[in-house]
Amino acid sequence: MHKTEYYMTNCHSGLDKFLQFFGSLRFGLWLLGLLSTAMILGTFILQRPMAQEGQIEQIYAPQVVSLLNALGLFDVFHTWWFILLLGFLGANITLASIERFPQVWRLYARPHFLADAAFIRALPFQREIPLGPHTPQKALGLATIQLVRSGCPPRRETLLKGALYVEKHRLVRLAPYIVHSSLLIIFAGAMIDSKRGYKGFVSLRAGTSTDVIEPLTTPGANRRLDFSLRCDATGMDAYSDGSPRQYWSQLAVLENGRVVAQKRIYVNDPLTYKGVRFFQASYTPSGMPRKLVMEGSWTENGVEHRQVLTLVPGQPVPLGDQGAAVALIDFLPDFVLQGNEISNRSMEPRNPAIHLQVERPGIGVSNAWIMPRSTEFTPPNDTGVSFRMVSVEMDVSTGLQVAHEPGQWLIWIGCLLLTAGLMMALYLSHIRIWGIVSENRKGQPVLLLGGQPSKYRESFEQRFHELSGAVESALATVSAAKKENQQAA
Amino acid sequence: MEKAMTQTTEHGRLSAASWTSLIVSVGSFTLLAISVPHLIGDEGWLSGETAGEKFLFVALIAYLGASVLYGTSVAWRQTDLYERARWFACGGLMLHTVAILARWSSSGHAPLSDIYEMVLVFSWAIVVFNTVAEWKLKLPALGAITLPIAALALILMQVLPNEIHPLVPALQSTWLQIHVTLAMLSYAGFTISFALALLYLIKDGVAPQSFLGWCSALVIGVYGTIVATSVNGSMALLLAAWDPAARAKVMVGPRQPLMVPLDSLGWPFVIVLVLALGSLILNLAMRFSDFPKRWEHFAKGSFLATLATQVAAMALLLVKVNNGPYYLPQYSEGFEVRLANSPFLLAGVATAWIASFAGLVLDWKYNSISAYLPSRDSLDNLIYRTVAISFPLLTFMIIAGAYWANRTWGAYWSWDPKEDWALITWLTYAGYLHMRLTRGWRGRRSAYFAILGFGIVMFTFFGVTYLLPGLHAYA
Repeated sequence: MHKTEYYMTNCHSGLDKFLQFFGSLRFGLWLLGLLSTAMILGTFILQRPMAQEGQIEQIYAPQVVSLLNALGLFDVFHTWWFILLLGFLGANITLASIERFPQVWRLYARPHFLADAAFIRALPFQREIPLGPHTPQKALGLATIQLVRSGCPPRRETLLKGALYVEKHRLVRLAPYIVHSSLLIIFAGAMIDSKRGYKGFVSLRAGTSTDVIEPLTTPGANRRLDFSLRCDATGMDAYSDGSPRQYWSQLAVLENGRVVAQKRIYVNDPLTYKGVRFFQASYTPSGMPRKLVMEGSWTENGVEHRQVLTLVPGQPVPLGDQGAAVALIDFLPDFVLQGNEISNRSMEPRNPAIHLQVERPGIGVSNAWIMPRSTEFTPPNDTGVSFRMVSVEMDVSTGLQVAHEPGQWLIWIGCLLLTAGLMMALYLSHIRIWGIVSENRKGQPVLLLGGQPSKYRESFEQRFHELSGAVESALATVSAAKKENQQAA
Repeated sequence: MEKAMTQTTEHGRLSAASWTSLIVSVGSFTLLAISVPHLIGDEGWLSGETAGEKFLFVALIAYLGASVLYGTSVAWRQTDLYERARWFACGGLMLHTVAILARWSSSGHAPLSDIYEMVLVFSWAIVVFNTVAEWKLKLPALGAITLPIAALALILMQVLPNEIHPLVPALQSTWLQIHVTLAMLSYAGFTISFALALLYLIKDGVAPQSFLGWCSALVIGVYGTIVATSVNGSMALLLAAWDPAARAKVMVGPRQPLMVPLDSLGWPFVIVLVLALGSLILNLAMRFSDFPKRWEHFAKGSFLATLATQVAAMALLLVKVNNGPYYLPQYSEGFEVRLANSPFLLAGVATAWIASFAGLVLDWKYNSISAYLPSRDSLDNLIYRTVAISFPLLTFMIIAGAYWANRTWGAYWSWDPKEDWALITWLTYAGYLHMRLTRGWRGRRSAYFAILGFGIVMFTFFGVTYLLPGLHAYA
């Protein structure tokens, strides 16, 4: 019996010791140091998710590559040991909080309202204030009035028992636990996101729709949404110097063929549907028209003909009724002539040059260049047809980053708590002041005031000095007035 | 006759204070007289997009004057000089504020979007905090460290590219302003804690020789980095090519500037490095030998020699840079170089220079400076309080950045180098707070921690931008 008990306690203390070490500050600081070191390595060694294909092999020697690969140092932030360190930190915070919380909770939930003289005399700041002619009750009353005036009202219940108790910011005692649990909440959110969330990419040409999300990282599977996304238009707004001011996409969400949501998204302003968010990530104009509408007019046997042609690259369109066809061969959206060279300045249809080809059966091929916005000269045209541009819709595609982060609300709640907790923990101090009527060394009755801050002793010292000084002069002035009255009488 | 006599004796007794204020005033006015016609130029004072720059230049002169005055007031314990130093600092601060407002109005957005604007706000916050600390805490010595840092930042800004760019789409967010403002405020707060930590170490009786040893170590760090990254095998210093027309670096690939070798400019840097190494070795020999007196002379002499060669290297660098363009055979073309291309190099050289000079003054006037400082306890407490104020700001900065990134890229954390280093800074100061609050760390260890933390902050601010790639490419 004895032996088993001994054995049990020993076993218990072994586990206790382990838990104690795991929740100790020393272990926590080691973890902070190790995490920092790992992160420093991760910023100095090129990381695979950020490197281009083959870049790592080009920079580092083969032996170094295999060594760093084995250690996981090419992807520090996703290796098992980095995640393990983060997990240890979470465990450390949890254990440390569990160990210390009961004590602090006692302090918080059952504060020490009633002090005796010995307690007050042991406090770091204290003052003996002569009562003068006042009775203890009267003196306490005057002190209370003065403390209320100075913005530090004493607790009423304690006052009834003949003692002063002033307290501010008791919640500060719990602030470290608020901070640490907010970190755990953030960890939990990040864990949910890494298990249940996903990131991906969608590339859409204006006018098309999809329900497939491509993976962001190279090894990864496509993901199918239970709705589809359509891009109606996309574009770029530019500053006057041509640099991009804003990218946008007009998106529509379809379920069973019906539009259920619509939004024009911008960089910084995504579309959210069923917890999936679509971000404007890139914008790629191909420089070719998606739909080019031209009007051709020609004279045939003295009769004037007119026809509207809708041209798409690679698809000849019949012209007239003699079996002729028009094809769009080339399109420069923003051409410029330098000598005899023709070149393109941008992907926006600011000054297009259109190359059309007319093929007539039995006659052959003839070419036409049309430059609708240029008035400088007449471009060559041997087709016998004069063309006029009616409208052009450019072929552009938008790149959308897709993210599903079901844990993000936990993260933001954690961040709010962290903010509040840190402000409490570092900007505020839990201050307490006790006061009772007691006797000084000579045996005269005095009001004994004592105070204690949880931190920032200097500013508390000043505060305490001001408060007790105000109380002292309150007692003194009234007593002086009374003395005068007595003398007059 | 008698009157004349008294005058001469008074004249003969002109105190160090009067001499310093005379020299500083004459120096500042000479600098102003030389530079103002240049600044006005053909454009006039207020025209042009970068009118704020001119105010900033005058602010720089004021800060330099204030630095000298603060330094002498501490070293010679002159209270009236301290008053004049405050006037210089306040005047500089006003001009600095005008410079910020001018840039704000001409760019149309708050000046928080590139490294130039960040340094502009960072240095402003340092001077503001210094003013607040002087007013609230009566700490006359603080300015002797913070004002040189602010002046250094303004010197750096004279060469940083300062064109106003329209905001790229990702930066058009209120969160940019919140994020960057918080970052600059917390960095400035940590700078103040660094200055206080230095003052603490002086008050705590860390020997002036140790400070000289640290200065040598700093010089070795700076010149070692320069030699390792910029000096090639033929002792030529590599500087990035500069296109004066585009006012930008000449790039041969993404993030790959074209480097121009300046012949024989590597030597001075190598010599400084060797001398600094020698000075550090002599310093250590002095401190660990049984006869320190025997070594002291050599240690100090080599330190002075290092400072002299640093000045010479700087002068040569300036001359060489202005002598361009330099012909590159492989491009059969000449290229200009500017210091604007290597702000890191210039900032390092200037930091080493100022630190060495400050080290000498400290060595010379150690007892006087130490006696001028407030008590150790109050300094120690102030270090903690500035960290306690700045740490939440740093936390909110990281949170604001994460929230903004989540709205822009759909990811609140991407393990990008700038994020990593901000988190490393956070972990460091979190460690400091735990040590202090739970373990009761006080005194030297706490001061060393504040200095280490500041080093990490500076690497997060500048090192990551210039040395590591990442999402924060614009900052």
